[in-house]
Formats: sequence, structure tokens, C-alpha cells
Amino acid sequence: MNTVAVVHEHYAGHPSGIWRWVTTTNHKDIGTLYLCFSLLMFFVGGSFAMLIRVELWTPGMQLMDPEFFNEMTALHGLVMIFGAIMPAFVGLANWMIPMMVGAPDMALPRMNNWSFWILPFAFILLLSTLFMPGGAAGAGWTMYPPLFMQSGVAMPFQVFAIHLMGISSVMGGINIIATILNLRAPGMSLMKMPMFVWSWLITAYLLIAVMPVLAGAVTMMLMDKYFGTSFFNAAGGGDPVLYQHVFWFFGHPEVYIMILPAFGIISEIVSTFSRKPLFGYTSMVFAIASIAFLSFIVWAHHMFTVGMPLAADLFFMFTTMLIAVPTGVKVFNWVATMWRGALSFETPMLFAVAFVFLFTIGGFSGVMLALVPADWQYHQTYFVVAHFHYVLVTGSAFAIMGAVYYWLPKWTGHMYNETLAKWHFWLSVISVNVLYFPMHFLGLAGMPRRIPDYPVQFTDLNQIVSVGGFVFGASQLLFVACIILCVRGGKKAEARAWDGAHGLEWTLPSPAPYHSFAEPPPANLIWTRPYQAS
Amino acid sequence: MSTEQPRRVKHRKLAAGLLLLSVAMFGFGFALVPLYNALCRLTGLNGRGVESVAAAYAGEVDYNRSVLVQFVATTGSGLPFEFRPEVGSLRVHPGELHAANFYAANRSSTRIRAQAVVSYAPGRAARFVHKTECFCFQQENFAPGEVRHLPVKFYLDPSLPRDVQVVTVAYTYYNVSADGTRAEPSD
Repeated sequence: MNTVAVVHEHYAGHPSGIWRWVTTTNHKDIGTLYLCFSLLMFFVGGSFAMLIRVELWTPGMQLMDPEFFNEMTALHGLVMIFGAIMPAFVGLANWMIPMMVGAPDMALPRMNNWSFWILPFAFILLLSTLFMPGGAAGAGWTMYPPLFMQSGVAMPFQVFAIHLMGISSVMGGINIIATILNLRAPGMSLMKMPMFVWSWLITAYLLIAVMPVLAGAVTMMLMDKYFGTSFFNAAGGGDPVLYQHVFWFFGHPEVYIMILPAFGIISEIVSTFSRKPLFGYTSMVFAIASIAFLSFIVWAHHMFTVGMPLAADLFFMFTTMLIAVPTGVKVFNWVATMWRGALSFETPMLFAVAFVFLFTIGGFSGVMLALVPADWQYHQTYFVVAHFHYVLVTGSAFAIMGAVYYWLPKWTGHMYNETLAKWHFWLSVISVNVLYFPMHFLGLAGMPRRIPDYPVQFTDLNQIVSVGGFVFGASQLLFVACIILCVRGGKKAEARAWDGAHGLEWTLPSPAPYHSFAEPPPANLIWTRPYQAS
Repeated sequence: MSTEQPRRVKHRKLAAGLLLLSVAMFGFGFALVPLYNALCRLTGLNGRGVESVAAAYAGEVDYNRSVLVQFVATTGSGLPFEFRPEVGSLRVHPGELHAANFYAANRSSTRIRAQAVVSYAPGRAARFVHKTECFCFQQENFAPGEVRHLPVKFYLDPSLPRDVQVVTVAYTYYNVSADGTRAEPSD
């Protein structure tokens, strides 16, 4: 919260104290709120993961009963997805997009305030289910019926929490699109926008298109349970498999909602620290757009084992593998951007390079999972857990951490402590691989996911995984330390904090003033952006 | 500022359009239900689109091949029944009329109304299994402790694809008596 307080001293004229944060319509304040909230949720979801790893230290049941274990896996997923990763990206969008496109603020500032302040209530509702009779719903983050519908009183509360998160995301998406389409500075055409802005424009459309579908799916379950409908109730002629189709029609675009903004961030960072314009800007834009389009027609690759006709299996297998093409374009473009660049490896760049390596590992295991015959073996095993943690932790979360280090000087006016940040990076990148890499082997050896107990032969690998998990969890305290120290003080940051950085946000002083670009920036500033080289 | 007014209008228009899109997508989620059912009818997936009344017996038998038909019986949660096939599997020629009995016993001391729902594996075999008689055609009332031998009479359509050599017929019995769960008779 202190991030902007530093700025605040110079710009009076708005309420102070807690009321300032409740009533604020300033995009920088709201961005800070989103980022702090997501950091808090990162630790809440992380502590659930720590409990899971403690329970899995040895075979047999030691710490908790199996029901509670299932509640932990379900809530860990929901909190990390909807509480940590998505709000972090929305926070970065709030902070950076208006400054990157030369706008004075978000297009709909009051709605912006709403879309943030719904979130704490949504998560209080979600986490309160832990204390309800019968406990929280232990049906995984996917909430498949009929198991989810047997969850007792927790179920409607979780459904309402999902509704609130959906409303918040849709409002955030509308706001971001309105800002990008209506408030760009004169002279900034769509194809001159920074890559982060492009990635968010497309992500926002995905949010608006699929969050309501999830709301519909959980509403149907609510109606099945309380109003006697039979959407998914087999006894009444419904079909539980239908839920999986509706859910994954949301769920697959959702995974791109969580990675496309990361692509944007990595494009910014790699270009800055290679001191070169981004290679293949246009192809990057089209790659993001085609990934977004493909995300709508691949959903059933999450459910190859439900018994679809062969033709459907083949269709979903081929379209899924097709996604590797635009994704490959992006990876190669990042590598080409670094090629013969004047590289330097400050912490944001370290996270970006680690992203390119490790996200690609997650991408490869994704292609393996896309193969129908192979998927029948991998399905519901730790191989899947390894896959999506490589894309979500070393993918999305690493991109977010890189972005925080990259833009902290702009937010606080101070440089962060590079030594401490490097410790954070190296501890994280080593432990994260100790944590997730052995999961591939566990999965191939046949260990199912979402179980609190396992056969003895998996003990060694599980202990390695748990050690990696504890170290990774503890390393994140260094991240918090870096942020707090940077807010409190440190070397004064220049307006252009990184010598290779381009873009309108770096033409503003550091820390960025509370109100920026009240008048649109002159068009010649936009032309200095690196994408126009050659 | 003079530009303030049209800018506001521009925002409102765009936001209203996007809001409409999100409402439409909420509706689309529900529209997936009839869409899915239509698709299942078209492809015979999950045994849908198969006649839900007793099929007439066609009488042609293909003695050149035989197919293994397996029976599976499970109970939905909240049904205190013992429920199992009396014969685990049958080897049949396509077109031959066969009978199989299922054992169902109400292990509770209350009256229970139950409905069986059938599903087939592989899914594409569903439309080639014809039943001339089945306890799943209607809801059944069980007195406390009542035991019944429920009959199924069926034949496989001789046009069953030749690569299907095993067909699994799975029944799930659901409790539809007390809590007002609506149920439709299955095929």
C-alpha cells in the first residue's frame, strides 16, 4: 500500500488514510490495490500448497483427513487462479496501460473501483466455506458434478464467490478494452501499441467471452441442487459430462487469460534488456490473436477420457497441436530479439529468460498431453500437475515477478536491491525445478493427482518435490522483502530506469506522478518507440 | 473540456456493447445444453437418440460373428439398494434376442421409488443396442426389503460396426422418491 503513498506526498487533493483506498478511482491506486491483494492471495494459496506437500511427505495419512486434503487442492487452485494470477495481471494492466497508451486514467474509473472492491468480498466468501459445517467443497477447482453438488452448505457460497469473481473480471475487461480503444494518445495507432497493451486487449475480450459461461455452468449446478432441474443430474435425464464441456469451454480460454498478458510482459522485458526492438512485432500480434481464437475450439482436450467419438478426439487433438505453431512463433521471436543484442541480466531479464526456458518445457509437455493415445496414460496423473505448474508458475507467476521488478522503479521512484532480488530469483528458479520436474516422473510412473496417500515406491520423489516446495515457498518471502525495501527507499530511479527501455511510461518521472498524461503526450514521443525501427 | 462529452458517450457505447456481449455469453452457456443434446442425438452419443420405447424385434440374425455384451450395475448416492447383474456377460450373435436379469433389493425399511439410467460403452455402439423390454423404461416402486429380478430383453442390430467386439451396458439406479428429484424415463 505504501507504493503510492510516496507519490501521494506530492499530490494533495484526495482523501487520505483508509478512505482514500476505498473510494479511489485513480488507476495507480487501484493497480496497487490489485497487486497487494494478489500478493496476499499468493501467500494464502501458497500456504494451502505447503499443507498439501507436508501431507505428501510420506505415504499414509499424517496431518489431515482426506476430505480436508481435497479441500486444500480445490482451494489452492481457485485461490491461485482467481485470487493471485488474474488480479496480478489486472493490477499491472491498471498501473501500466494508461501510462503506456498516454491516457490520463482508465476509461471508466468508478467501475474500476467496483471491480477491485468486489474481489475481497468474493474471497472472504470463498475462504469462509472452510469454516462451514462439512467443510469447503473438495471437488477440485474444476468443480465437476456430481461430487461438487454433494458438498453441503459450502456449495452455494462457493458458487456465489465464483459469480462475484466473474463480475469483477468482466468489469475489469470492459474497462481495459474501453481504455485501449478510446483513450490512446493521438498518433498511437493499434499497430504502434506496446506488446503488453496488445496482449491485454485480446485477453480482455477473452475474459468477457468466457467468464459468463463459467457463471452459467455453476448456476446450472445450483439450479440442479436447489430447484430440481436436471442439467447435469443423470437421474433426471441430464448428463454430468455436459458440465465438463461447458466448464472447459470456459476453462481453456481461461488458461490463455492467464498466459497472454505474460507474453506481453516478456516481450517488453526481453526487448529492453537486449537493447533491441522486439523481433517480429506484427507476427507477435497475430500469434496472440490466433492463440486466442484457437482457445475456443480445443476445450475437449481436457476430457479425452470421457469417451468421445474418434472424430471428435482427432479434431481436438489436431487443433490443440496447432496452438504450438503461434506459441512457437512467440518463443522464436523472443530468442531472435535476444540474438546479437547487448544483453544484460538484471533481475527482470533473469525472470524473462527463465520464463522462455521453463514455459517452453510446459509447452512441450502440453503437446505430449494433446496426443490422445498418450493422454490416456497421463490423464489425472502428476504429469498433468507438472505440466500446468510449469506454464502457470514458471510461466505466469515468473512473468508477474519479472514485471514487478521491471516496473517497481517507476512505481516507487527507487531501484530495488539487486543483490536481494538476485537471491530471490536464483532460489526460486532452482527450487521451482526441484519442485515440479520430478512430478513428471511421478505422473509417468502412475501416481494420480488429488490423492492424500500413495504407494511407498513414490516416497523418494515426493520428498524431493516437497523439499523443493518448501524452499520455493520460503524464497517468496525475499520477494516481499524486496518490494517493501524498495517502497521504503533505495537508490533514486531515473525517469528511464533501464537504459534500453522505450515506451511512454518511461517518459514520466519516477515515481510516476499521481495524475499523468492529463494532456496527451506529443506524437513525437510515440515515434521513439522501438518497434518502428527499420 | 469540450472533448469530455463525446468521449463519455464513446465510453458508454463501447461499455454497453461489451456488457451485452457478456450477457449473451451467459446465455450461450445455457444454450450449450440443447446444443449438446442435439449433437448427442445426431451422433447417438451417450445412448441418446435411441428409441425410448420398446423396440420391435427385427428377426434377422448374423451367425457369422459374435459380440461380448457385459453388464454393469451401480447405484447412485442415496439409494440403499443391492443392485447387480445376475449374469456378468453374454456372448451373442447380432440380431439374436437375449434376456438378462438384474437383481435389485431394497435394503432399507422405507418405500423407495427408483429410476434406472442406462449408458453404453463404446458410445457409438449405443444406437445398435435395441431393447424390447427393460426395467429402465419406467420408474419402479420398491417396498421395504423387497427383492426383484428385473428383466431386460435386447438384441444387437446386425449393422453394428464389425470392429466393435465388446459392448458394455451399464445401469445406474437412482433414488427418485423423496426429495422431489424429477426423473425422466430412460430409453
